Amino acid sequence: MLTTKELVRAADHLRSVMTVEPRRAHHNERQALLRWKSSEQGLRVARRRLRKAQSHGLALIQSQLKADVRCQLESVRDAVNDLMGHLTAEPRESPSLSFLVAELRQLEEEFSSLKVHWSEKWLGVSTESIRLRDVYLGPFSIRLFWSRLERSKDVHAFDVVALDPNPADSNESVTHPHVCDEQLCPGRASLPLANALVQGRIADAFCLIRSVLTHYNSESPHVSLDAWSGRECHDCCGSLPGDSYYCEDCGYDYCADCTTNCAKCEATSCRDCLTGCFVCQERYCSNCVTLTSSQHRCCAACIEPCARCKKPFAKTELSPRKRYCADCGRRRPKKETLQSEDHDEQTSGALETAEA
Amino acid sequence: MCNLSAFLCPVLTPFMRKGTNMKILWINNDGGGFADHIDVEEGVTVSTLFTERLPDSRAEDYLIRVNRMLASADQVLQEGDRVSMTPTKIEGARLIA
Repeated sequence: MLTTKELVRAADHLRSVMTVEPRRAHHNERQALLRWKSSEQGLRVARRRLRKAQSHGLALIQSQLKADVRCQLESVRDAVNDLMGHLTAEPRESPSLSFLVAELRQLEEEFSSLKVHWSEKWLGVSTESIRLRDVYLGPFSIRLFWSRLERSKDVHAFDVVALDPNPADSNESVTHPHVCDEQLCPGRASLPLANALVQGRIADAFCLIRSVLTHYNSESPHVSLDAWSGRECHDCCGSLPGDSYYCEDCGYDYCADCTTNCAKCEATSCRDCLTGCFVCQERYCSNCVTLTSSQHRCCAACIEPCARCKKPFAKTELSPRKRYCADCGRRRPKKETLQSEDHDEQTSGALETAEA
Repeated sequence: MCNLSAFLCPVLTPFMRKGTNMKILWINNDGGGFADHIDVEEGVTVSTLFTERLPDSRAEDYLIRVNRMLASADQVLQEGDRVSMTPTKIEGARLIA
């Protein structure tokens, strides 16, 4: 338990970074604008992925991608509401020292484990051990770095550190379905968390983070709990049964739906590692296509050397009769030029004789 | 001579004052987050306030604090009380790169 002196000292550090100045208010408004733009970018990416899956007929992953789109739509909505709030809000007073001390006392009551790390400049609490759907995740330390609050009053001011980590087998950085590299993706808590920090409600901010950690959103995890202790498809993220497929180009594991075979050598490959031939449009692995001089990738059957310069081209790029590339077709060889000049002279000489 | 008004005042006061509003600070950490002073009827309890403000939610899914302390459902709110309600289950996400 912290002493009153330590609480006051920690509260003073928080107050120094929370003092609202007109410039800071403008900064907060700008941050809200950037959050809106970021959420719109996230929505565009999610929609693009969904369209790609639909065009490729990837049925398994579509439901998850639709969930991503819904999640991003909600983020856009919340970000717009937040921005509206900033644009219409009256100037807010900075939280007082006594207010922040009360916040820290409440934090200590809620978590019973408030700790301040003076040299690393964070204050933090520990959660109870968390288990979601029978998957043990252990307790987490939620750490607020007060120096980061100057730049951004949102989730980025926090680290969420697994104290007894049980990360996903497929990704050691993911210690919780919604925590990657010690960064929480707060989802629906983003906006109330940001508002709590702006208003100095530190205890509420920590409680909101705990509420995310103790709940599982199966529609949008970094790694799903179903696949926590097993491998998952590198493309659709579905859990892999015993007979998974290995892409010989990139080396990742995939399910049957996300792999196909090279049209020539039949090597197993993921969709991203196969290249379509410029001419025949069949898909080949990297070993079965060649880069032409015109920077197109072609299979062996569709590649042909120029009859003059001998460089490789797609056979559709060569002239029909002489099989020249475009550059060689524009140039006339010296021997041909002289021959044609001799021919012209002979022809003109014959004409003069005939006239005479 | 008895003081009739003094006698009647404590009797009549509850009836006269019923329906009078008072201000509390209400913090709703659901949705977009809301923290502002609101008018509530005197004598309102924590559970009544919850039902009025979050009619589609269950109280057991929220962390409810009055003046930063645990509160019972039938606790009667006073003028100037600070009431916060924080959902205990919030959907996180994964970052869309």
